[in-house]
Amino acid sequence: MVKTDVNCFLGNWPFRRLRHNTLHDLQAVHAKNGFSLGYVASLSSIFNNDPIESEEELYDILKGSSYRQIYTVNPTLPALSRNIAEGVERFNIAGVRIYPGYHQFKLDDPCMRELRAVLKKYNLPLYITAKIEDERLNYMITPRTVSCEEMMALTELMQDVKILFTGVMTYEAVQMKEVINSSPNVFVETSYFKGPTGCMEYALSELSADKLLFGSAYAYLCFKSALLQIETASIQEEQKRKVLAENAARFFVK
Amino acid sequence: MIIDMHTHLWETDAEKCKTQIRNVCSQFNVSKVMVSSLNNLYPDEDEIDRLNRLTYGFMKEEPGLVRGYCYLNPRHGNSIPYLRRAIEDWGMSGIKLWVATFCDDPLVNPIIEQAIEYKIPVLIHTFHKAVGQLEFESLGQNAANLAHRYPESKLIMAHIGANCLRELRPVIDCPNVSVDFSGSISRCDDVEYAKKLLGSHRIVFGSDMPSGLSFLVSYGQILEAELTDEERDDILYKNTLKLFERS
Repeated sequence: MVKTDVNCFLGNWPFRRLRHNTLHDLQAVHAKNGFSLGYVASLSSIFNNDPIESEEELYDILKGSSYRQIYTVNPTLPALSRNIAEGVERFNIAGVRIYPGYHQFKLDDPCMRELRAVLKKYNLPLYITAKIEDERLNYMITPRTVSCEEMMALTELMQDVKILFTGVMTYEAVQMKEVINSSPNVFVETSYFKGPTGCMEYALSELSADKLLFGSAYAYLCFKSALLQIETASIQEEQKRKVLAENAARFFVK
Repeated sequence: MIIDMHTHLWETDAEKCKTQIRNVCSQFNVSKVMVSSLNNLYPDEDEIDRLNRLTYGFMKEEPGLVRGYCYLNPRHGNSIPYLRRAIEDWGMSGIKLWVATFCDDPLVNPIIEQAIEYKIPVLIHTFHKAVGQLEFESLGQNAANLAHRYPESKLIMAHIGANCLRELRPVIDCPNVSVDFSGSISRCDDVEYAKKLLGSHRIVFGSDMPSGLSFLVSYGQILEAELTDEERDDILYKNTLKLFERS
């Protein structure tokens, strides 16, 4: 079983110092907990007006490791298709990630149609980030709230693209359960499944174990807190294997 | 050993809370929990009495596991005689203040003076919110004001103020203020940041379970933080034992 963290970050966060944001830190926390594979996005790319500058840095950091690059785009910037093609060709990206909260666009924005076409062309999955920071802890900027309704509506448009909802709370994932359970291309990761007590058991009573992928949001959030939610949950071992490893392998297969 | 010094019974779901606390303690070898009972933000005297009796009932059900905080609304005229009964007759171990007043409101003074006399700690909800701040929700500066006013008091600033980057600096020079990191949304290095500013001897382990965030959030943070074994033990139980040494 290759335990896989589908939601890792490197790079910098503009509002606080991250103490463990090197590849060495990530590899160390993964190795300590039995993980050997991670899909990594750049926090710096969210705030860089030319995200490819930060993506180049991320590529250089990950080069030669077992980690794969998830490519951040702001689809409201010009040259979207060209930029993703560059990511495919230069960085061998494993997926594309968007931040509608930070980049202030709605998921029914016309740019999403172009995004869909290019994702389909390259057979790339799409990470949709509901949040990184708890909204109560925001500093200086207030990301737009990304609602479950608009995320669910996007799945109508993107029926031929694999979608991973990230940064959703347990109750939000459950709120979207009909779409998640019934759409073969829609999945959710677990980094924001933080509560209440028994939240993983609750999530798996409502959501198919085939649809949850383990993510930590490390180095922004605590890795161990995320992992304990699954490792210590009163769920079947088969469900744990799916969430920690098998679903990610299926999600990223070309 | 683990002592979870920040847990709750929510009145509307108290039996479920008890079961969840018992299960967590059993699964993770938590030796003691410090419990307060809560419901409405601005409770009247009857509600305060109901909530504290709920805590007291849990103490009696689980005498080896549960210690109680006496929850008070400082606006109530009966707070001091009520506190005396809770401490002297029911054997409660500390005081819980939530959001009925700022913790440095003069209404709180008699409560702190009584806490000093009893040598018991006061757990103060402190929580900065970028959105949704409550009218009387205390911040680090409120805790610092109270700590300077009563340097002999033992204050615990709950949740490391939520946004520890903003709320911890006001209490750096208040050695009588400890912090718990319950409900701190599991940001990767909050414990290490708190240690840098305050020292590990001023951090205590609390989870805020069972509602809100799960026990595993705080537990994961303490397991992952870069600490010596001695520092981890200090945070997991030794610092709490010192704060509650009267009990």
